[in-house]
Parts: sequence; structure tokens; C-alpha cells
Amino acid sequence: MGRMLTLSIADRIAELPHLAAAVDEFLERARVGREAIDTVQLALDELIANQILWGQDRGEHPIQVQTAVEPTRVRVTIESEGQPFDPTSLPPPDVLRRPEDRREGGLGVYLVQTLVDELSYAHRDGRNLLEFKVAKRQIRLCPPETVLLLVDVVRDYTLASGERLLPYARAMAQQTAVLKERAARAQVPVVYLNQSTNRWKPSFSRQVHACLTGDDRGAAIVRRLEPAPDDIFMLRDGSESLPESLQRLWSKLRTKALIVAGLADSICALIATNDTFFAHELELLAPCDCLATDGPRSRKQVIEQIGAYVQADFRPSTRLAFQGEV
Amino acid sequence: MLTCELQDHLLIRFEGRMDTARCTEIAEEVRTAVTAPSGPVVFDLQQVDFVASAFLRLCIYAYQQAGSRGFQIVHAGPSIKRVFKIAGLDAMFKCE
Repeated sequence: MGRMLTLSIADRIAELPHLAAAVDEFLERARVGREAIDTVQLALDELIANQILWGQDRGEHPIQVQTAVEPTRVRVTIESEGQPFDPTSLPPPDVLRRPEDRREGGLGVYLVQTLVDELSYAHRDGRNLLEFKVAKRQIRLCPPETVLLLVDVVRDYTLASGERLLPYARAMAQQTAVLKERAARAQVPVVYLNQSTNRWKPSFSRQVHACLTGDDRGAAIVRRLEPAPDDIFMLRDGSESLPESLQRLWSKLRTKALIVAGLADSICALIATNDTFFAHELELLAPCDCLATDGPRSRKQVIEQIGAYVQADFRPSTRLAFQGEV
Repeated sequence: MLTCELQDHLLIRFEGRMDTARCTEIAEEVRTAVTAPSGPVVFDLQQVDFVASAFLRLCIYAYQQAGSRGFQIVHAGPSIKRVFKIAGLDAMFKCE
């Protein structure tokens, strides 16, 4: 049976520790794991602080927080009066920028989006409604036969649609690079599947080199995801079909699970045109923090597009564990 | 928060939950402390079990103030390190 805790606090930062203590106690009693509790706490702290600091009419409107423990997850809703303020529409902070050049803003909501399973916003009847969900059992263990597939990450990011894509691609690059380092430690093969930029003389190493020497905002992405000597690369031409060699590699590696990361549009197209392959005896994981969209399109839309063709797990990469990590 | 100014560097030890409320309370003190010294700045997170983005912002500030004098974070646990990694701030850790 589900259990619920409803609290109302004044919109002041000093109220947050009291809320945190009450929610902690409630979730511990409901036997929710420590890691899930910490994630809920971080999301509550960041989202409410954001609402208090950036919302209007401070100090006048109470904030209602409802925490519900459901069979598989914790669901939290935060409700407050005031002007519409949608934190999910904010572009990500530039997480590839070196600390010495960083500006300080935007980190909180980004952390929440990268750590919770789902975050959504609505404005109804003059009220801001934020809802997030955190799985009780947080970690999904990948089988030993897992492959990490990076789709179209080596490219010129300043081409036409690239400008809009850049901030999202830079965030994708940081999360994917961290996931790739973890994959390498767990000896999970990494495959780069990339559109060829030279139709007549395709060469992945030349393509990598060309992208590394281009405009630095885009080059930094390729540098962060630069292939290691052991990685596997495959170039494809304009069509979205999977190269036969890749299909052979799959069966050779006896792949059971596939983690896809990279450009959301390319991944959607690839899955749409090869849905029987992707749906066939393969666990598909598409960590939402490792998918780059070309604008503030919500994760929800990308998830819906891919989900229309195949069943996949879209939880962020922080929710995955490779063999030997747990 | 304990500030220990050693002979050649400034060491600040933090404790417990570094959430938005706590960081708001100590922000001024930390900002003043890291602006003053002449040597490197070190944040010790051994006793810290929770960090919010407000704490990351303090670290960014300290890193930028320390500049060529150097800034580093030591003794952070795995869950704390994970938050810094997501934020792309793992360069702040001491290579251990």
C-alpha cells in the first residue's frame, strides 16, 4: 500500500532543513534505500531553493510538498503559487568549461535532471507544479555482454543545426564521457557509429582529426569523447540502416544489452528504421542524460519518440551499474 | 566549518550536510577566507555527506579566487565525487 507525507513550508531557505529532516524520517521508515533518499533530498533542496530564489512575490506563498512512497518508486510533487517558472526549460550549464572559466548558475536544476528518473513541470490555475520520481531500487545492473554505442558524436557541431545543439551536446559529452570511462573499467566494448563526412574517402581517424581542429566549442565535445585505441568505429553513409559489419559484431560479442548515447535525432532515426533489430532479444538502454537534442525539447519527447518503436530504459546514466561496480 | 590556516596553505574542513541553507549561512565567511591567503586553498570533505549546487558554487568561487595559487578538494566520498563529476568539476580533486 502506498504511503504519503504532505507538508507545507513558508518560502524561505531557512525552512528547507526542517523539510529535509521530516522527509528523511518518513522515507527511512518506509524502508527506502539511502541512495534513493539522498537523490530525493538533493532534488527537493535544489528545486525549492530555485523556486524561492527566482520565483516572484517571495515570502508570501507557502510551498506544498507531497512525498508518496509507491511500490517501486518515490514520487514527489512541489506546488506553489506565483508567476509561471519552468526550471525544466532552462538550457544546461556549460559543464565542459574549465572551472576557472565557469559561471556559477544553472547547476542545481541540471543536477536534478541528471539524477532523478523523471522531472516534469506544469502551470495550472496560477500554481507551479513540479513533479519528480526516483526509483526505490536505484541501480540497474547491466549484463556482462553489454556494448556502449555512441551515435554521431564525431561531427562538426557548428554546422547549421549545430548552433542550437551545442549547449545540449556539451552536456551530453560530459555525461557520456563519464559513462565511457566506467564502461572501459568494466571492459565493456565501446562502438562509435558515425555518419561519414567524406562519402568517397571515408576515414574515421581523419574525421576525428578534422573535428578536433575545428571551432573550439564543437571540438571540445569531440575531445571529451575522443576514441581510445581499443574502441571500435564504424562509418555509415547517409542511410540510417545499420552496417552489416555492426550486426555481425553484435552476434560475435553475443550482445545482450545495448546502451545508446549521442545525438537524439540520429538515435531516433536509427531505431525507427531498424526497430526489429533493436527489439530483438536485446535490452536497450538509452540514458536520457546522454542524449543530445537540438533545443529545449524535453526528455519526455525524445523518450516518447524512441519508445514508440522499442521498449527501452531511459533512466539517467547514474542509475546504471556495470559488472564489478556494485 | 573549521578554518585552519597552515603555514603554507589554507585548509577548510566542512562537516555534515552542505545544503542550500547551510551554504547560504557560511558563504560570506568562506568567500572572505579564500580571498585572503597567499598560498593554495584546500577543502577537506571527509566529514561531508551531502552537497547541493550551492556548495559547488562555493568551490567554483574558491577555485577562481585561488587561481595560480592552486585549489583542491581532498577526502571526498564516492557519492560526493559523483555530484562533482556530473557538474564537470572533477578537475578539482586531488589525484589520489
